Amino acid sequence: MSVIEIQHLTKNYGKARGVVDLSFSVEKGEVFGFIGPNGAGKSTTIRTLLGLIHPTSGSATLFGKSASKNPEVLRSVGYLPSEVFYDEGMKVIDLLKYSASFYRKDCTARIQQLAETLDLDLKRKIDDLSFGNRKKVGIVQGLLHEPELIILDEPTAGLDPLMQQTFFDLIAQENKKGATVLLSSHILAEVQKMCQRVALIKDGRLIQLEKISTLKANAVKRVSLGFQGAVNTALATQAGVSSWAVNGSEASFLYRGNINLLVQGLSKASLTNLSVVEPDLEEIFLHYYTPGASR
Amino acid sequence: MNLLLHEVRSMLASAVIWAAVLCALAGLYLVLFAGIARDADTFKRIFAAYPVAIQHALGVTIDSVASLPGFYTMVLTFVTLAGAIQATNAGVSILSKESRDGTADFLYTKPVSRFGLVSAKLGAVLLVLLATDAVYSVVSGLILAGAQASSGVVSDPAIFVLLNLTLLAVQLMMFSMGLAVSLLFRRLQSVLPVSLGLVFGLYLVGALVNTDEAARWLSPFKYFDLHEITAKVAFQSDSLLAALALIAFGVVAAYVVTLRRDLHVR
Repeated sequence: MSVIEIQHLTKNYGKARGVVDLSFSVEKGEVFGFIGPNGAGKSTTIRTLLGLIHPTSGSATLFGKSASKNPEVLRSVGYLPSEVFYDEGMKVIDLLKYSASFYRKDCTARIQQLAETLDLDLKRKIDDLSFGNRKKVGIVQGLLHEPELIILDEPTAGLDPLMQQTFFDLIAQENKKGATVLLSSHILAEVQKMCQRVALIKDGRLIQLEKISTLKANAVKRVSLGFQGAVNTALATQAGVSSWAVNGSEASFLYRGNINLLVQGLSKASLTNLSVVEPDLEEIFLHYYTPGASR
Repeated sequence: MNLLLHEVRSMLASAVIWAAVLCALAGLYLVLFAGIARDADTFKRIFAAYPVAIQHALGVTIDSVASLPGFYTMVLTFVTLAGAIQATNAGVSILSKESRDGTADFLYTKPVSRFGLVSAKLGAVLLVLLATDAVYSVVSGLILAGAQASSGVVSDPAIFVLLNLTLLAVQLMMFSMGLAVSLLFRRLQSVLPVSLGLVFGLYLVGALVNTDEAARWLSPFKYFDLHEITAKVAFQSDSLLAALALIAFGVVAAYVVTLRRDLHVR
């Protein structure tokens, strides 16, 4: 049984689109990335999974059950929303104890440990906290019951780079202990670093579901060449070459396809320099999201 | 239970203030009673000079204003108005709080059914209203006992118990109305203007109609005829049924809408 199972999920808000015919699953122990620009439907998907909104059609289940019909399933889920709001008048510790009271277990030691790791003052009032510190409260609140599934929606917004690192170390530890993680983000470096598989979503539809390694292997590569003398323009017509650009005795292009064929083509040229840059997810992402672009 | 206690705690400070307001209103008016009873004829003439609509709005009945139960019905009119503001405010705010404060993501992702959430929240308001009215009943009972002792006229205590129960009934009806109105908004930004508008609107409607007209069912403030309760020492069954129906309407609507509603981020 998959930890998360989304089948043909469609959610419309009146005439507005949320997500359309979305299907994917996340297996136990996996760190799964969910990438898309703002408004692509990531939060809609997550909120449907959590039972906050109801699907127009299709299904979204956690541990084989719908959260809206079986809220008990949320006992095993920790959720960190992109923006955190709490009762402003409460002290951090009181809010966390209140949150813990829903899980029928003593979370006191865990709260202390997480607060120490994140350098969070438990005695302060929520009202007095900065945006970053509120986010820390959200992290502790999402992890205090040691959930089997952690759902993170744009989790690092508001955290400084050092705290982001601490946060990802924390998530990696939880994953090591067996927790499954769904990480929704538009910050590709963090998805690339954390996740084994990734779903790319655009305009409410799933456009790619791939292992990170496969995604990178199949993607375009940026090639830059320095020529001895004139640029060999014959390369521009080779299959798989696009975005050919010449600057004096240098040329650069994007290449997609069998790398051996590219090497064979290059062997006919007299080069002073060659660089083949492994694309990062940012480039892959831009490739998919450039208006009109398709696979 | 944790949610119910949390909700009760969050309303506790305002409940203490409301209980104090209700007791103070009763106290302020009832200290005047001894003087009014002494100069009964003068006061009857003063009240008789008011237009009928104003007499209705003030809850005054000329014949009985100089008796303690009769005077208390007038006092209770103002106490009920204040109690109704407390209850309507709770009704408008209790289920709309999460979407207003953005805390829906926190509460509605906890392992509790929406039915359980609504039940805990409604239960918390019921407890707070019962506690407010219990405090008011004890304090007003003491003040009434004092007023009876000083005037030397003793009335059936059951009259005052029944009259005080109408306060709870009106509060529950207004709570239900507030609840129902709050469900009409996807995101209710400000509670007080809605609840005050609702209370004073319905109070005015009640002031303009007589208790024997069918139009009285438009205003929860007119469901119970206090003078008839005083005379018969019993509730009218049609008033009780109508009150129960109105309360049930808001409560059922709260469950139906909340169970089906999509919860959005702020």
